[in-house]
Amino acid sequence: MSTTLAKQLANAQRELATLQAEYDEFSYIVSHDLSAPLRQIEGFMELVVANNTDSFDDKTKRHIELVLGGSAQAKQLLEALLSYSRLNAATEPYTLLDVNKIVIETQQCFSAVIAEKNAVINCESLPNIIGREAQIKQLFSHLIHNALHYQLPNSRADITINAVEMDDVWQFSIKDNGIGVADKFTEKIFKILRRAVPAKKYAGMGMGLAIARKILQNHHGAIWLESEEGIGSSFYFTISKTISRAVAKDLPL
Amino acid sequence: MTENVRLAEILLVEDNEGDIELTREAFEEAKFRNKLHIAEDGDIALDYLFKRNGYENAVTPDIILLDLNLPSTDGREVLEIIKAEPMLKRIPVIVLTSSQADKDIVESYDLHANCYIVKPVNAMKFMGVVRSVENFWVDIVCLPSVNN
Repeated sequence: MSTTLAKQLANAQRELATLQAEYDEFSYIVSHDLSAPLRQIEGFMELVVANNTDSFDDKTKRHIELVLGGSAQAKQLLEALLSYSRLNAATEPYTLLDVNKIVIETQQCFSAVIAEKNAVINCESLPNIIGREAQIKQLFSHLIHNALHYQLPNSRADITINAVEMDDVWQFSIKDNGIGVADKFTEKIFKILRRAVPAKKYAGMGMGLAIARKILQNHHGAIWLESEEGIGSSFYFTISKTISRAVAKDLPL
Repeated sequence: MTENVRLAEILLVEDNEGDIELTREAFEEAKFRNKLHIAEDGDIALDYLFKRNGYENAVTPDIILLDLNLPSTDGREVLEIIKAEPMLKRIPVIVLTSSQADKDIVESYDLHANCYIVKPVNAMKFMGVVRSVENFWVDIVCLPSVNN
């Protein structure tokens, strides 16, 4: 490498480190300095309620409910944004991951919902991949959660997880028989806090798929879906097959 | 005021519970002359306006208050659909949103919004704005009579 190039690389790396440090500081400030006043609103409003239960008319009670509801929502939003921003750092090392094991563990996490909904998760033999463990676990957790969650009431979730070997990548698919996604929302649902269905019908923040896409970006992969409303959705994603390819793409040049 | 004066039908398209409550309360004082309907997301608003999916008996509103950032179908898209529909395009659409972004303002007017209002953060001011809107669009402005 020429000295000029080496210098440029060093500069770029320094810049990146500065940005990362600024970013970390910003996240810290947001999480701590913003949650303190929110706690204050909630805490003191609850005290007001506890000390004056009988003295409020219905309108005031409704207003208090809205204050508490609003601050609870702000707190949830804050947590959701933080969980997204924490994914920024590609600090977690790549390791060899057994996807079968990850899927089984995820199923165990959701065992209550699976039992309640009488859901079936069909899982063919899945490969080992090179990835960042916590993020890949989170990826499967969000996708399986969605497949279980976005179901018509009383329907029995039927989910199939599959992987196909391609030239350079593994292509995974998670297929469900849920409510599906209208064509016009297939891009929107991957954006932060954007959803295809209102929270009143299906609880949620609009963060799961944004996080999933970010994780795939961190792994130089892609995520997309094929869906038909009322029939179900298939989410696809790709992951590099080899560590050399994955690590090579992490390098700045 | 004569007894056969029809109530002004107002459709509020809004997902935020607090803003719905404040709008309701602001309209309370003038409830003898208008009726407020709520659609909590873009899809419901469109179902209401096109009288489908359980809204077959909905009354076509005289004015629409529209938030831009909505779950499901976005407010911008709702606006675009309203203004492209011959049966609906004459209904004044008042964009009432927390966004101050130039992009949203320009885009809304390009999509033929009748006016664009930024929600005041302060609750009293918010109610004041809603009252002004009601006063202006129901009392002062001459609206086309709904003939369907």
